[in-house]
Parts: sequence; structure tokens; C-alpha cells
Amino acid sequence: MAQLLSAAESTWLTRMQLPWQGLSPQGLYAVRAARQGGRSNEPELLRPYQMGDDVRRVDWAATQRLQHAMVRQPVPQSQGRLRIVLDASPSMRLDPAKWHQALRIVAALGVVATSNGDSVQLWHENPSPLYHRTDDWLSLCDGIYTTAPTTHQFAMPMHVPQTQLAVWCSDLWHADWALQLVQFATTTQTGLVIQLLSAAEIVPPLYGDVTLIDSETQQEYTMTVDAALQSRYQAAFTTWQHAIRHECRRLGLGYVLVTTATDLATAMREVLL
Amino acid sequence: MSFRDSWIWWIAIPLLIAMVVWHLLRPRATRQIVPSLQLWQQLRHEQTSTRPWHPPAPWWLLLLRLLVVVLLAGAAADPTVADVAAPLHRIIIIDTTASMLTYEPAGSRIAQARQIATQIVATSPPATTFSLLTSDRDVTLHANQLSDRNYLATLIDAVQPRAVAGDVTLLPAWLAAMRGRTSEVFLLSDDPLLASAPWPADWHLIAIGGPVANQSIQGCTFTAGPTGWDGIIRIEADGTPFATARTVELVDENNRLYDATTVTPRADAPVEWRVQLTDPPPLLHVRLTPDSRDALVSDDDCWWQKTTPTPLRVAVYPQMDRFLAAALRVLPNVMVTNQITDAEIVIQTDATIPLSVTVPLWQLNAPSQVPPVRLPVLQPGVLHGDEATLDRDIAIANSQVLTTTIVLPPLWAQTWLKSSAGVHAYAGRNNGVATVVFGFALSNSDLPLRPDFPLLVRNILTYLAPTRLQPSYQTGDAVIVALPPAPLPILYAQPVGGLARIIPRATDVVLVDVTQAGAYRVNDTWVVANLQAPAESRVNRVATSTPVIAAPWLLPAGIALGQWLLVLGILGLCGERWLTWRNGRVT
Repeated sequence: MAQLLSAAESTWLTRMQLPWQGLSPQGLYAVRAARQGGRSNEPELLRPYQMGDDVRRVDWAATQRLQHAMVRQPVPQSQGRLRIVLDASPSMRLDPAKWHQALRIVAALGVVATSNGDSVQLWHENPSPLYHRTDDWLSLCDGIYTTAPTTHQFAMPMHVPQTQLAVWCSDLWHADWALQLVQFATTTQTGLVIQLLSAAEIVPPLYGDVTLIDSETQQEYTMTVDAALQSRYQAAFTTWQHAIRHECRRLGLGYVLVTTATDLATAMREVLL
Repeated sequence: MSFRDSWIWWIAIPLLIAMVVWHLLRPRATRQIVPSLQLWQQLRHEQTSTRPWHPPAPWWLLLLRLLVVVLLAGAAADPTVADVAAPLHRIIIIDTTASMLTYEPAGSRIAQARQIATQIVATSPPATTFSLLTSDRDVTLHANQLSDRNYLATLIDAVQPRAVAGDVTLLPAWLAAMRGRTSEVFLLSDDPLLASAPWPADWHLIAIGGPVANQSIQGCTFTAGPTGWDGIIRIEADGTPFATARTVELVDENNRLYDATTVTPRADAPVEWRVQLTDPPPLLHVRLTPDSRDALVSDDDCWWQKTTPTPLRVAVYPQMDRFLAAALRVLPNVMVTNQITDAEIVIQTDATIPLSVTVPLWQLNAPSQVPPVRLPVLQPGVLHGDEATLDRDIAIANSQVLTTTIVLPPLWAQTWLKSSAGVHAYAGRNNGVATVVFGFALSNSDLPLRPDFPLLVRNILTYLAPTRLQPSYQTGDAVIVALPPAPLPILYAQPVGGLARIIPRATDVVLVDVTQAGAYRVNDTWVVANLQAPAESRVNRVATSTPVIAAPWLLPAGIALGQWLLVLGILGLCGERWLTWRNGRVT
């Protein structure tokens, strides 16, 4: 079985804490309720408006804030304190190092949560049960890593109860990344987006006449790559990354860029701090 | 510019054509899976067309690639630059084997050769440079690329045959080393073998003497007696005793005929003669009488020289050991016995040095009845004739000596150094033998401390052995040393004692870059650098029989040019790789 985390790394991670750890769930809810106007102490699901929804449930403040029609929906008690949404789309699996790095970060987050007595849930292709034990969590992650990749289009989980903290680990190579960010923001009270990219995605080693094939859609695009086009790609990449960062800030989400060259300790410090 | 290995271009030209075609052909686009096309599609870069040809945009990159190939191919083809504007260089080779002493109605063959050589010099274009070589058993370079015609005429007049047979095998190596620029070669010889050798077509072969026959004396033996010239002459032709010659004549260098009674045919062996001379000349020519010479044309091997080992005493001082040791080494056939006692080296000539050269160089502690003089101040006397060369280019007035004796110049000598107490050095020719006598040891004087001292040594050596000095070179000169084929690498000793490596261009010619002053040793060949620089002494360069010649720059121009092309080609290749990456076209 592949070992995503070494023993030393696991030991080091047990000494770390998630940002809310040390506060009771009720305390967090109170803070959340007070920020939302003290309407209720019950957790609510904030989701995009759909045809047939009661107009009276429209949360106008959230609609104004998110620029989308949002409705409130009471939900039962949250099922886990940490939810990790892992993007397992083909673009994430295209580079093995990238997929390995993603699972290492996911595993590390779960270790931090479970070692402090919290539960963690992984949204992969399907939602997993809540894990309270570190060993079980690591076994889950190792199993995902060793499982043969399957063609899987990423879909943001919808209609799920809000959780205290959700982490979305993705490369965001989706055309509707902005909408997915909005949907992700509605599933959690505190959200963090980890954009994971490989070095070849930041500076593509492409020159000459090439036919590019989209790993998600299999669409082909033939072009001649030269130094000028490389420069323009870099400018477009920077603009795209700034747009993601700006959107996360607007939605109240944290944002961390992690590359395959980033070591785990550095990545975890940026994620947790 | 021409190329020695022009066949390289038969490979390079098709390669150039292939490069042009390859450049024009559009390479098939490579397929690459990327995570997403969303950013690439935003760029809206031009789509590649379906035409199989490239647009001519990166023509400069193609030119750069072609240039790189041309440079590298040019470097591999060993280019040479023919300096067409260089003045004409004429190489005159005079046969100095013993047969050139043969007298004919038009004069001796050597005189005829001298006259023809002088005419060649006189009728050459003004800017012509000349090299003068003599060929016998050895090859001697008397002048190398000399333009002073008066001095060259002097050198030609001084050419004398030697009592040896010829060895034409040395000439090609010499000329291969000397040629390298526009040259004409004039070979003046009476040797049928030399004249009939397969020399290059551009040689001017000038036959000296009468028609040649098929038969020649191939061997003469002379068994020297216990004293003087008392021995037996035996002449062979084609390995058998030559019975045709019934009488012989003995002549010396000046064609002086010796008494025929001294040459007596032996009754029991008609092809042998007994020779007895009481006053022998240094060189002796056994000449067949005319009645028996009709069947012979070449009598190269009928010369002998009488040699007598003569000890020479030379003072060596710490200040001059470098120069004098080098000077001694350039005296050929001198054997240093390493018997060093009290700042003296006793050297002794071997048996092959003519008597005219084997004279005492210095006579230390010359006998004198006059008590030694202490601390005199020496002044040079006025020298005439050949002895004037002793004072050439030096200023030794007011020289001081710790202790000296007074020597009495004989009638044949001229006073060289004197003081108020008397004469302390003289020079002259004693029965034709050049002699220099000092009344003091040079180490007791301040002469070795003067900057003129190397030139003083040179003057003495030149005076005593005018034709025996090796050529010397300025530091930085390129020196070609002819060596037999040897396994690589060849190491040579530098004056400071270090060893350096020689990379030969041919099997028998190596290059020595003389960068240090002093004596170099390549195998057993000594080369002296800066012993007498022209800027210091205006000394005429006269080579000797050791096959060492000086050449200002005999490296084929192609070496340097090829290296330059190689460097430029590599730089161009680096630039092409960088531009290729910059342009983003990987082909």
C-alpha cells in the first residue's frame, strides 16, 4: 500500500490545529448567526435559487453579496466539522505528481482534524462517511491513490448541509469555475480553496506546431507556439489566477496556490495559517 | 582560400540542401494533452495552415544554421590561405658534395654553381627573398628568407664542397619545412642521382658539369698509417675493385697537385696505392688521372680529411654559463667531457672536425715572463681584417681586471686589449688558424657583468668558427626541427629545465615555439634562442649542418584559420540553439 504520508509527517501534523479548533460548534454557530443578523441559531443551507423555491426564502443579503439569487434552507445538524472536496477530474490526474500532491494534502488535512478529535468527510466521486480515526482516514486516502483513475467529470456537491469548514482541492481548470466557487461557498461557513497546479501548467513546455488536446473535453486545438505566444500565455495565466483569487475574496473564501514543487510542510502552513 | 580536405564539401553541400528542404517543410504538429484549453483558446493565436511549406518568416534562422554548417565544414576541410601578394621566395640549393670540386674547362663545378646562383639572385625581382642551402651528406641552411643580396652573394661565394658523399634523402624534409609559401626551388648539382630524383615539377634543376655516365666509384677506402698521410687507397666500383684506373693524383682544396711519387701502385694489388705525405693538407682529393677517368664521371667518394683530436680549453663563468654553454652546444661535433675544474671545462673535438676549426678558443694562463699586473684598466686596440669582427657591436673600453699577465703578441697577431702596462689579449691567424689569447681569466674581469658579454662570446665564437655557428632565434620565433618519425608525444627540454610537448604536423617535422631565452634540446638537436638577437648584434645568420632551420612562421595558415572557423561555428551553433528556443521552433 502506498504511503502518502511518512511517519514523521504524520507526527508533525498531529501537532497542528485547524483554524476553528478550540471553539465549540455552538460558539461557531453563534458567531455565524450573529454575523447573519441573529435570525436563528439553527444551521441553514444557503443555495442558489431554483425554479419553484419560495420567494420568501430568498436571502437578499446573500444575493446581493454573491450576485446570485440565493435562498435559505434549514438543514439538520451538520454531519462533520471538516469537509474536503477533492477534484478528481482528468486534469487533476493528468500529472501523477499533481495527483499525488493533492492526496497528500487531503490526507494531511484529515490527520490534523482527526488527531484533534474532529471528524472529517471526503467528497470524492461520492461522499464518504465521517472519519474520526486517523488510521481509517489514511487508509481511505491510500485507497483512493492506488485506485486506477476513472474518467470523472467534477461536479460540486449540491444540497449538502453546511459544515464549519470545507476545503476544495482543485486545479480549477473548469470553464465554470466561478459558478463552482459560488456553489462551494454555499456549502460551508468557512471555506478554503486550494488551487493545485503543476509546473507544466504554469510554464507549459510547448514549442512549435502542436495539437493541444483538452484532458477534460478531448477537444483539439492546433497552433504554433513560440516565445511570443508563451509570453501571452503567461499573461493570461496571471490574469486567470488573479480572477480566481479575487472571486474567492469576494465570496469570503480563503485561497492558496500550491504547486507540485511545494513541499508538504510549506503547503500545510499556508493552508492552516 | 583553398581546402586540403575538399571532399568534406561533398558531404556538406548535400547537407545544406537537405537543411533548406527540411526548413521549408512544415513538421507535423505534435499532439499534446493539456489540462485545459481555456487559456490557449483565449490567446486566439493563428492556426497553422494545411500547406506543407513554412512561411518564410524565420529566414534568418535558416541562414544562421547554414552558416554554422559552412563554418564547421570549412574548419573540417583544413583551409589554407594562399598569400598571393607575398613576395617571391626562391630557394637555392647547391650541391656541395666532393664531386663539385671537379675541374672542367669552364672552371670547377662549384665555381659554375656559384656563378649560376649569383645570376639567379641578380635576375630575381626586387622583393624576392632567398634561402640558400647546401646539400651533401647533410643539409645546411646558410640563409633563410634573406633579402640582402650583397650579403647573399658573400654567402654564395663562401660555399665550399665538403669531402663527403651526397645524401639526397634529407632534402625533401627540409624543403617541406621551408616551403609553405610561394617558393621557387633551384637545385644546382652534378649528381646524376640528385638530378634524376622525382622532384616536384616546379623545381628548376640546373645540371652542373659534363654528361654523366652509368658507372661511378661507389667506395674508396683509406687506411691511415701511424703518422700523417701514410696509408693505402683502395677504389671500388659497383662493389668490385676498380681495375681501370692505373694511376691517381692527389690534390688539395686549392687544386695543388702533390708529388706523384708519393702515390705508388702496389705491385701485388694493382687497384691499391700507397700514399705518403710529410706535410699533409687538411683535405685531400684522390683524383684519377685523365687516362683512367674516362670511364668515370662521379668520384664523390674519393675524398678524405685528416683529423686530429685537439683539446680545447674554454672558461665558463657563472654569469655566462647559460650563454656559453649554449654556444658550445651549437658548435657541431664538439664533445663536452664534463671535466670541470676551477671554472674550466675541457672540451675535445671528435675526429670529424677539420683542423681549420679545432683551435684553442682561449688560452688561459698564457705563459709570460712578466709578473702579473693587478687592477689594470683595459682599452681595446684597433683591429683590422677578420679580427675586426671581435669588436663588433660591443663596447669593452675601460674594462677592469683583477689580475692579468702581459702577453706578447707574435707577428701574426693584433693587439686586442691593452693597458698602460702592456698587452693583455691578442688575436690573429697562426698559419691560417684563428687564435685568441687572453692574459687573464674572464672571470677575473668585469666583462661577464657587462651587457655586451654575450655578444663578446658570440664574436669570439664567430671569429674562431665562422661557419660553425648554429642559427639562433629570437624568443617567440617558430623553429622547425626535422626529426625522424617517433612515437607521440615528443618532449623537448626548455632552457629553464622544464619539458614541453610537441605536436607534430608530419612525421618528420615538429614545431618548437621558442619562448624562452637559452638552449632548447629536441632529442639530440640543440636550438639556441636569443643568444644573438638581430636587434642586438646585426649578426648574419649562418646555419650549420644540423638540420635545424628557422622560419618566421611556417605554420600553415589553415591551422589558425581552421581553428577560427571552428570557434565561430561553435558560437554560431550556440546562438542557433538559443534563437531556436527563443523562436519556439523545434526541428
